[in-house]
Amino acid sequence: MFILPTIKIAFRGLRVNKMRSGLTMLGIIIGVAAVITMLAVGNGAREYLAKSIASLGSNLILVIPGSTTSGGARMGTGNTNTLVPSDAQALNGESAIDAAAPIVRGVGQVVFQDRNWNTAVMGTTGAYERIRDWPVSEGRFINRQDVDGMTKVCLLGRTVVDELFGEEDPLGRIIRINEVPFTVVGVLKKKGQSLMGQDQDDTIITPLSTAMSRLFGKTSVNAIMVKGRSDSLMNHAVEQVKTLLRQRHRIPEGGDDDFSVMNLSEMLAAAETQTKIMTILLGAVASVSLLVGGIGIMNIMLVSVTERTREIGIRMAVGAKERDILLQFLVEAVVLSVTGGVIGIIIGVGFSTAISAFTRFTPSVSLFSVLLSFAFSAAVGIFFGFYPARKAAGMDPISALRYE
Amino acid sequence: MIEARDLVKEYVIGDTTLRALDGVNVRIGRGEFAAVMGPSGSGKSTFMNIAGCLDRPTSGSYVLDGKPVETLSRDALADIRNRMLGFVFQGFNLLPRTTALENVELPMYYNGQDEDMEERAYAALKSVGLAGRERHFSSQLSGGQQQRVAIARALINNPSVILADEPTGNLDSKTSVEIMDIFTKLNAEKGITIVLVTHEPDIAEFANRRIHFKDGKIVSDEMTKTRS
Repeated sequence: MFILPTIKIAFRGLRVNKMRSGLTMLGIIIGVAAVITMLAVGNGAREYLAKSIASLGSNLILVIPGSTTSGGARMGTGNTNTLVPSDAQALNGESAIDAAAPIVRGVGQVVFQDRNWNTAVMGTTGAYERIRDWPVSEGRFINRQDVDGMTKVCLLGRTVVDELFGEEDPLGRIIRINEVPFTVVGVLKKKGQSLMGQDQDDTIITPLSTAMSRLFGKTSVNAIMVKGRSDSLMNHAVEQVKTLLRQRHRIPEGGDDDFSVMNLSEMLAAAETQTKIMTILLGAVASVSLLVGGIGIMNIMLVSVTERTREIGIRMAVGAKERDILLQFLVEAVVLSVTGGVIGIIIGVGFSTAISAFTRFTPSVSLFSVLLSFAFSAAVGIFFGFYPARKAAGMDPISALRYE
Repeated sequence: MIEARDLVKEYVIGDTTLRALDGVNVRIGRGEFAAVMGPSGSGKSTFMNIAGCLDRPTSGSYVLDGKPVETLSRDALADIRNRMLGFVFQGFNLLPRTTALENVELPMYYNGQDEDMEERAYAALKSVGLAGRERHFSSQLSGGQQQRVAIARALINNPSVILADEPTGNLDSKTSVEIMDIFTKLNAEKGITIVLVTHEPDIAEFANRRIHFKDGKIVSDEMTKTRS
């Protein structure tokens, strides 16, 4: 019965002292806007990472040729020819390893009829489908017969299909990759961007053997991709990869590895944790501003209570109880902080939208962060408004009435 | 209506004790129009504060409408002020940046009657001759008009007693007479008990009883006219 007119009166007070109210709310506005923006950016980054992790596949280990020392000169990572297809085959037998696929990479000029396109060409085995969790949407994946028989078949990524075939059905058609004719046996499911922002669908997959001998003339592979059996076995899997490869490459005790092993899932998880910590940290810094804003509100409410001593006296004389006065000033403090909070939310949402124009990921304002900011600003109003309101309610009616 | 027995009020200032009321005994009956007079420092304001339930006596008893009130809590006193008493002050004491209508409505906020609040406030303003000025802010009204708003506010909860503390102190003599006529009318027509503090003898003429205070005591108490 009493709240509604009190809110009305509080809003009128805000309008009368526009400058003062605006400055008082500024702390809350900045705090809430910062919290909303930081949480949105953090959320966006996390969602982006999570999507990337999902598109990469789970429990992944990447083995690439490492630096070797040949005649005293150390070669850079990835520039040596130490990994061979049989390494991958051997890894397939290890207990903690679910599958391993050797990979060769190159670039190919692809031609179909009068259209052509330059794309990444990758040679691998059937295990790759399972490791990357990347099935075909049409046709079939390459299989053991393709690799063993060095058949000239290929899988096309979605982008390549769009560029070369448009609306046509590519299955069974023959394309030329670097002048070598290949039959299209399947189309890969759309995968989207990688973590680095590359289009993963702009690719062609051929059997490993065909790519090595017919296309690129290679005897070693660029990488071996390994999938661990489970999350908990990842460290074990990394150990098995290292032990087996050292053994196969006849590296003596104490000698340097001629390959590097990267636990991709772990790296991504670490990146995710970092993002999380950053979000919390930025949010915490932003909420300090909320605290400062709250102190500003307390300050201005104390001034207001003193200024309006006479008004308090009048209200008490006509029958306002302590609770009524307490409520009135509390409501005014909350109106200040919540108005600031709402403006802050609007600015924060605007900021987040603006930021998405400059980043690869989209900051996402969650309903949770909006509700949180709203509740927090109301709480700030109640917390910092209580002391001034208490002071007003405890006044002596006579001295309040006589106050000049 | 108002019955004070051995009312004592002491203020402690530093290590001296000031006795503002020193054993006041008075009884003001229902429907009386009493003027309280006396020089400043005589205790008349202190008496009014206690009579108006704004303050509590140090000792003695104060019975308002049959109820002893000197032991009541702050909130209970607030309730009595709201329902039984109306205040009119020298400085009008209207809320700033608030319309006449809202000022009159104010006491109704504090007793939970929100039914036809506005209607009643309109009627109260009309009864003091301010119809048509309901939406004016207090700062847009003359002194006499502001005092009328204050009277309307004092009347809004149908009080049995109106306590007026130098209500004409800030007004010119013509306006003073107008304001006093309103009080006289309220007393005569509605039977509202009025206690008026003043130091102007011609204002005190409007009352039918004069109580003089000096040094915290009542020194004289005379009926000046019998009620017609």
